[in-house]
Amino acid sequence: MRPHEKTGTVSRRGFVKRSLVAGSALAMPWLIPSRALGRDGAVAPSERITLGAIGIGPRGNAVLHGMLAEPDVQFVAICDVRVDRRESVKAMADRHYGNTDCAMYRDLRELLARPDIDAVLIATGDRWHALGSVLAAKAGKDVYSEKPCALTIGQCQALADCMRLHGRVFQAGTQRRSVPNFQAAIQLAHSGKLGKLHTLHASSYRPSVTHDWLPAEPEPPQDVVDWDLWLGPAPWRPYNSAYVSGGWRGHFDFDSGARLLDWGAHTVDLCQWANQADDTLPVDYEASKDGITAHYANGVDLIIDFLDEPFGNRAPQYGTSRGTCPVRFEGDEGWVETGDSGEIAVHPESLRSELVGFRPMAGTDSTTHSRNFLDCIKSATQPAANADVMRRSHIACYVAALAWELGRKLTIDPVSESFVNDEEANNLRFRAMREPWRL
Amino acid sequence: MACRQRVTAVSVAAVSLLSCVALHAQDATSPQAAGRPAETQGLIAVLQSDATTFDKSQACQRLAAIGAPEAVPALAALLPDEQLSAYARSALEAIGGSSAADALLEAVGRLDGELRIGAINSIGVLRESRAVGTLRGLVHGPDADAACAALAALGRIATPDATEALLWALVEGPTERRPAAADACLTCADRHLSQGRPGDAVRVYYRVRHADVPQHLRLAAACRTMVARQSAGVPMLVEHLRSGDRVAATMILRAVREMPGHEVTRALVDELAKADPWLEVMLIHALAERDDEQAWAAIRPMAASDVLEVRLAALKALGPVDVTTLKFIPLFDGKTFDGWEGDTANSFRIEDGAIVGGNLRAPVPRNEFLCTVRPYANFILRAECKVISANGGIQFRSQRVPNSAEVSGYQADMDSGGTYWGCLYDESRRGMLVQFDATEVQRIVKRDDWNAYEIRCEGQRIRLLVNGVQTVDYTETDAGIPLSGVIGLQVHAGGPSETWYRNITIAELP
Repeated sequence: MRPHEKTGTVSRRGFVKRSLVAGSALAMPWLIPSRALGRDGAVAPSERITLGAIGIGPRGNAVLHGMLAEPDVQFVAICDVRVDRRESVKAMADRHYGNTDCAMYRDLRELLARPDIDAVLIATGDRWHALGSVLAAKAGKDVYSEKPCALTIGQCQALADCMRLHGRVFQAGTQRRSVPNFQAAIQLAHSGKLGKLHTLHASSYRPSVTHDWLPAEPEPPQDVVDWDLWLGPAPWRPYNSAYVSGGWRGHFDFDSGARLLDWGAHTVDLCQWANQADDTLPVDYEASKDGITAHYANGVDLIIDFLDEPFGNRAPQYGTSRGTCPVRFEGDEGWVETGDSGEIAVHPESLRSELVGFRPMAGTDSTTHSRNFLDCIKSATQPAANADVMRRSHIACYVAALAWELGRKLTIDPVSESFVNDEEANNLRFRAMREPWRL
Repeated sequence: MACRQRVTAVSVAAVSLLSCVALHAQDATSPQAAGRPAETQGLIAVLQSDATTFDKSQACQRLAAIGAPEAVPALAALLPDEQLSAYARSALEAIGGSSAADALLEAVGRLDGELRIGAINSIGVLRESRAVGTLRGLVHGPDADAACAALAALGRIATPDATEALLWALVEGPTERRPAAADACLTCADRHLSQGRPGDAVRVYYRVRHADVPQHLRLAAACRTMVARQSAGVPMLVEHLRSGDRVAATMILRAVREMPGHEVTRALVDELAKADPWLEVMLIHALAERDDEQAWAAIRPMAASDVLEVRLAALKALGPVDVTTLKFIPLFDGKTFDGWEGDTANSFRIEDGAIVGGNLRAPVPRNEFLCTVRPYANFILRAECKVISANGGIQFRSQRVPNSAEVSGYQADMDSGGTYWGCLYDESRRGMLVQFDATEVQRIVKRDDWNAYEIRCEGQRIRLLVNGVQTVDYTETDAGIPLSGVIGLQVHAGGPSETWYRNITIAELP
C-alpha cells in the first residue's frame, strides 16, 4: 500500500506490474496534447508516427486497419514479396488518405533505409519475424511484430537482446494483453481472490509438424512473387505456390513449435502474466497425449491443453461459449476462465462482483494493443508485450514443443535458458540462417 | 510417450543407407545413446552419396540435432552448394569446435558471393577467434557485403584484436560501411560487458558515440554507456535530459530502467524540478516505474501542476484518485462565455456570476444547449444548479447533432419538480439510462434553490452525486458509445423557465 492510498482501495498498480499498466484497457489512450491537434482534430506532423508495413496478408490487414484509424499515424510504405499484396495495400492506403503517396517495395531493406519511417508493422509469415524486427531495429525503427516473434529459442534471445541494445520499442502481437476480459481475469488472479494459484490452463491445437517438401513448381517472375525473398532466412527448398498463400503452416522450416504457438504464444503468455512470471518460465516440461504439463519453480503448474476442435466444441477442457484461445486460472479458492468471446466464467459465482467492469472486445482485436505501442514510442514507457515478456513466454512455448517432439521430459534453467543434461535439446534451440541473412 | 515421426520421402538409392539410421527420438536417460555412432555414419553416408537434395537436407538437420564432429568433412563439402549450404551450416554451428571452424574458414577462402557470406556468418556464430586475421582482411577488402558480414562476425568474437579491427572500420573505413561497423561495435561492447570488462565496453561505446554514423546508433551507444557505468552514468543521463532533444530524452529514459538505485532516482527527481512539461510527463512515468518512496514523493505534488498533461500523468501514475488532492479548474469564469459556444444572443445570458438558460417571460420553444468548445474524456465535473419551473441538465461526453440545436450524449438530469435530479439520461440517443429513486431525490434536493452536482467519468464508469449523495454508478458496456465529448448546459423546451448554472469546475483524469 502506498502512503497516499486510502485503506481498502484496490490499487490498480497492485494488479499488474508497473511496466504493464500501459496495456490496461481502463487507461485512456495517450492524450495527444491539445496544442498538437489541428483545427479539425488532425495531429500536427511533428507528433505523427510515420509507419511502414512489411508482409501484409489477412492478419496484417486487420492490424494495419487499426493503426490507420489512429490520428497520429501516417502510413507511407508497404513491402511485400507478392505484387498483388503490395498493390492492394497501396490501394487501400491511397483511398484512406485520398492521395497516391503510399510507396511499394519488394525488398524490406529498401523500406528500412528510408530515414522518414519511424516504426514498422511486421506481419510476414513466422520465418521472417525475428530477422525483420532485427533489421528494423538496426535501422533505427520501432517494431510491432506479429507472433510468434521468432522461430527458435535462439532467435527469441537474439531478438530481445537486439531491442535492448538498440533501445527500440518492441511490441509482440500478443494483443490479448490489451483486451479487457483477459485483463479482468488477470486482475482477479492477481487480487488473491482465487486464493493461492495452483494450475494455469493454456489452450492450443494438437501439435503437428511436417518435414516434407511440397512438389516443386516453376518459380514465378521475381516481381510477381520473389521466392528467394519469401524464403529469406529459411533454408532452401523448391517453390510451390501453396507456401506463399498460407500453406507454409505446419512445415518445420517455416513454422516452428509444432503449431503450438499459434494459440500458445497468446495463451501461455497470459498464464505467465497470471503467475506474475514474466521474468522467468517453467522449469520442467512433459508431454502426454492430452497436453503438456510444465512446472514453475514457485510450485504453480502450467498445462497446455490440446483441443481436438479448437474452433468448435472445446469441452470438456473449456467452456465452448467463451470462444477461441481460452485460458483458465485456478487457485485454491476459485477459478476464472475467459476467451475471445469476451465472456468470463468464475467459480464461485460470488467472484463475479470482484470483476472490474469493462467493455467487451474480441480477443483478436489489436486496436488497444496498437495504441499502447504508439503511446510507448512517444513516451519512455514499456509496451504490454515488450521484448522481455515475449522472450520468456515464447521460450516456454518452444520448450513445451520440444518436450513433445523429442518425447521426453525436459528441464530448463530459466536464467541461462539452457537445458539440463540434454545436448540434443540444446542444439535444437538454434538454426543457421540462409545466406546472406544473419541476426 | 509422444514421439514425432519424421516422414521422409527417400530415393531408392538412399533406402539401404538409411535403413540403419535411427530416426526415432532417443531414450531420455541417455541422450548420447549407444546408437549414435551408427546413426551418424548413416547420415554422413547420405551426404556423400547421390541421394536427393531433400534427403541430404534432412540428414543435415538430424546432424544439427545430434551434433557429431565426425560429420564435419561431409558437411564442409556442402558449403559451396547453394541449396544445401544453410542446412550444412546449421549442423556445423551445432557441432562447433575447431574442426567446424576450420572448415568454415577454409570455405571463406575458397568461396565468394553469398555463399562466402554464409560461411562468415557461421564463423561469427561460433565466435572463432582464430578467424580474426581473415575477417580483418575482408573488412579492408573491396567487397562491401563481405566486409559488413566480417564486421558483424568480429563484433561477436570481441577479442582485443577483433575490437581493434572494428574500431578501425568505424573511424577510418569507408563511410558507407560505418553503420555496419557501429552495429558490430554495439554487439562487441555488449560482449565485453557481459564478460566483466566494462572499461573495454565503454571505450568502444565512446567511439560509436563520436562516429560519423546515423543518430540512432550514436544514441544507442550513449544509452549503453550509461547502463554500463550505472551510477557513474548519471552525468550522461542528465546531459541527455537537458539537451532539449526529445528523441534523446526518450531513449535515455528507456535505458534508465536498467539502472536501479537511489542515486539515479535522485537524479531523475532533480531533473523533474527543472523540466519542461513534455519532459515532466516522461519523468513522471520513469519515476513511477522505479516504485520507491523517493519517486512517489516527487510525483505526488505533480498532481497539482498548472499543466494539464503533467497533472494527468501524475494522476495516472499515482493510481486510484484521492479526490481531495485534485486540482479543479473553472470552466466558466463567471463573467464571459469564453470556452463556450451556443445561442448566447437569446437563450443564454450571464447574471450574478451564473450562466442562465431560458427566461421567465416567454415559453422556451426548443431545447437549447450551451457547449464547451473542446471535448473532455475522463474527469470530475462540479457545478451548482438551480432549476425554476423547468427541466434542465448537464450534458457530458456529448456531440452536437449536425443541422440542429440538439445534442446527443449523456446527461445529468435535473428538474424543478425534483423527480429527475441524479438520474442519468442519454439525450437524443437511448433515453433514460439510470433512474434514481424519486422519493430519495425529494429528500436530497432543495427545490428552487442551488444544488451541487458532481459528475465522475472514469473510462466506462460514470457516477453522479447530488449534494454529496451518490445517485448513479453506471458502467457503459456498449462499445459504440463515445467516451469523450463536449460538456453542455441545457435549457429545456417548455413553459417560461430558467435554469441557472454557476461555479462550474473540472478536474481532468488520466
